[in-house]
Amino acid sequence: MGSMTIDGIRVEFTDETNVLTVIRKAGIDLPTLCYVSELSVYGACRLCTVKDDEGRYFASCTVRPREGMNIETNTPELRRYRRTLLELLLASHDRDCTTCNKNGECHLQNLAERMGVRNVRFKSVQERHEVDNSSNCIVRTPSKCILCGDCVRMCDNIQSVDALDFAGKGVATLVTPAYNRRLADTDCVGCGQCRVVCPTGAISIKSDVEAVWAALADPTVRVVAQVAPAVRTAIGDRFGFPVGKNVMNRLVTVMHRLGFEEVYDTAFGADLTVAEESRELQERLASGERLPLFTSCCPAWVRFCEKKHPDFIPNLSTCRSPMQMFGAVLRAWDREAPDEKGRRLVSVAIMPCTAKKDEILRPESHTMGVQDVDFVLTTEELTGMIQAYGLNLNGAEKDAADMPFGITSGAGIIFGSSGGVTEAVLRNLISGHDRAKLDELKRTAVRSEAGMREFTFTHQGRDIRAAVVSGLRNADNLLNAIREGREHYDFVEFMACPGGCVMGGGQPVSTHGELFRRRRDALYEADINMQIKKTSENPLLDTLYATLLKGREHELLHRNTGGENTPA
Amino acid sequence: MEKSPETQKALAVLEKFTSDQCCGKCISCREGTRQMQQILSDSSSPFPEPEEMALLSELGALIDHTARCGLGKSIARQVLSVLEHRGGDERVIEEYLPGPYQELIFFDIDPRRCKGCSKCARNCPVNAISGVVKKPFVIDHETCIKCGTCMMNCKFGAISIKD
Repeated sequence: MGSMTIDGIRVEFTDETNVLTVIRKAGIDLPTLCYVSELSVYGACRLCTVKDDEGRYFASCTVRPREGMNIETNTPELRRYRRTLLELLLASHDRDCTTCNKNGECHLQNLAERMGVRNVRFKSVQERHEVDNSSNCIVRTPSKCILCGDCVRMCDNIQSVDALDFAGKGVATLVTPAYNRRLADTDCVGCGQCRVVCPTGAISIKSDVEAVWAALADPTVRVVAQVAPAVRTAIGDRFGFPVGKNVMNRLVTVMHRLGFEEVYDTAFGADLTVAEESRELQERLASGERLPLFTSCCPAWVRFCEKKHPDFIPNLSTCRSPMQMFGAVLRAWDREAPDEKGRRLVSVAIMPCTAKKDEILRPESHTMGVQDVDFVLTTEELTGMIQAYGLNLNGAEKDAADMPFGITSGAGIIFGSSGGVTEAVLRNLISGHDRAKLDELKRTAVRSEAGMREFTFTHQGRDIRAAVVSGLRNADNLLNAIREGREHYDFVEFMACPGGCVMGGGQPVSTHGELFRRRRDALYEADINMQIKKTSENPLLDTLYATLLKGREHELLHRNTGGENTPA
Repeated sequence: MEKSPETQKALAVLEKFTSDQCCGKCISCREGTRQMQQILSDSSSPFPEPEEMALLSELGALIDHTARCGLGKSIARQVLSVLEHRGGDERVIEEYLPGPYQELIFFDIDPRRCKGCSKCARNCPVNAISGVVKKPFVIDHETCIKCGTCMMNCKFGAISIKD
């Protein structure tokens, strides 16, 4: 608690950890390139430098607020320094902005514009580095890197993956995997959070846009798409909708116009997952084996578990992710009722996620030797396609997802937020449509915002200890606690991205502070508007289990490694 | 064209710093010293032209005020001091050069000359100088990084290098 003077105005502060936060709270958006509030403070960009009344200069992000401080943030000198700093960065940066994937959204470009950099007085000292295309999920372009270290701290602080770090020193400093390995040869799980914080185009999504355009133009194929729950409350950001607006219906129309023959809702796949996973939970609770049950919807989490905590692999649910279940069902459906014109099925999944691009290539993502989902497009890539075509979600007509897989439950939709899978599975355990019990579940910690939360849910007289984890650092801590016997759970939901899929690595990035809450709340809002709350109430599921899935549940809905599904 | 002795010295300092000593973390020091070196080596005259000098001074001030640590700041000051004291005492730069022999020297305040203006203390990057205004100030040699900022700032010539 205390007060300080910023540009002659008295400002109160409470528990802010640094002067920069106080300045921003006072309404001055000091530019920064290396400060992300969730990450540790790095203090490399120096753009937030301020001057105190004793003539001392300091980077405001690195200093704690003190009672009686008197600082100036915008003297002509400080503004000149900020401009010069940006000029210096631009002089060593690959300035092919017009062809950069981040063009128009680049933080560096943005700041140069804001600070009025109109020419760069310094000689270009840019160094060319090889592009790292090895990962299935993200692309590294080191010549666009400004060494702010945001990705390094994200990968370490929040995700505890440590795939990226600084190497070398001085002007030769590089952000790279250890020993200059390719990203594919590291512990990278493909979550894409580095891309979320990267201010420039140095880390970008591996694009499958061209391949999908080609499929859409091919008369011998029929392209169908499934759209993940988290996409609908984020893609609107790019088309002028208020943050968190659910635009699923408009998206269906626009995707039809792009040429997708059928557009389905992955929430239906989530319903299949809930059905299988709640059955698996009941089986494991009854037998007491391989508890706690870990969810397997998040491919980045599954990779993390395999790479860093292989001893917990047996605890992973054998269920495929909703996308993969749906993908397998679509293929099986195509085999049973082939296209009248004899066209081949190409299955595309629209996901908020970069790691899904890797998941579809895994051996267990094949059925009868065929890859179930052909392409994954992230929210950002689909946005690019819509814009390239010249369409706009804003003003588009509304339409509902296609049949025969168009009916979903609210439980399937909330999968897009951290806690959603747990709530959906536990809902399914409740017998009948017991509103009181559903509300009781809603009021447990399942919907709170912490990266790690736990609660107990009573089902048929048995206490189920559940935990919901998002962010792999939290996952790492929890796994260590379980291994050391400090914690006991029956069911744990893991999501690699902090906040769950709504904050996935393939989602539009924005500086909007309420981003997570708005996107998540819109999903819960969609759930409220659904008559079908529980997976078991979805009539489509009964039909499907009685027909297509009859006797083939395990083949189509579970991860079968090394079996006959594996490609030759 | 043959560079002037000052330019050569400044380039030598910068070369050593950018190739060996700079950690590369903060932009002002990493890119600033690189560009200072670039300007000096690209200059077509023996001694930087006025507009080049202006750019160098601007970079020097930028690094001095915004770099993260005293090392980068001291390099910027060294370069500027060499260039600004053209034809002056060449000894200055030799003795600031970071290196093993730095161990052998130390900076000291002459209490008879010090007027207690506190300028050295205010400018010390590591807060190694303390004292009461209008009384002689004292350098804490444990904390001192021997950057020479205090000596450059002293208007009364009270600070000197001892060995």
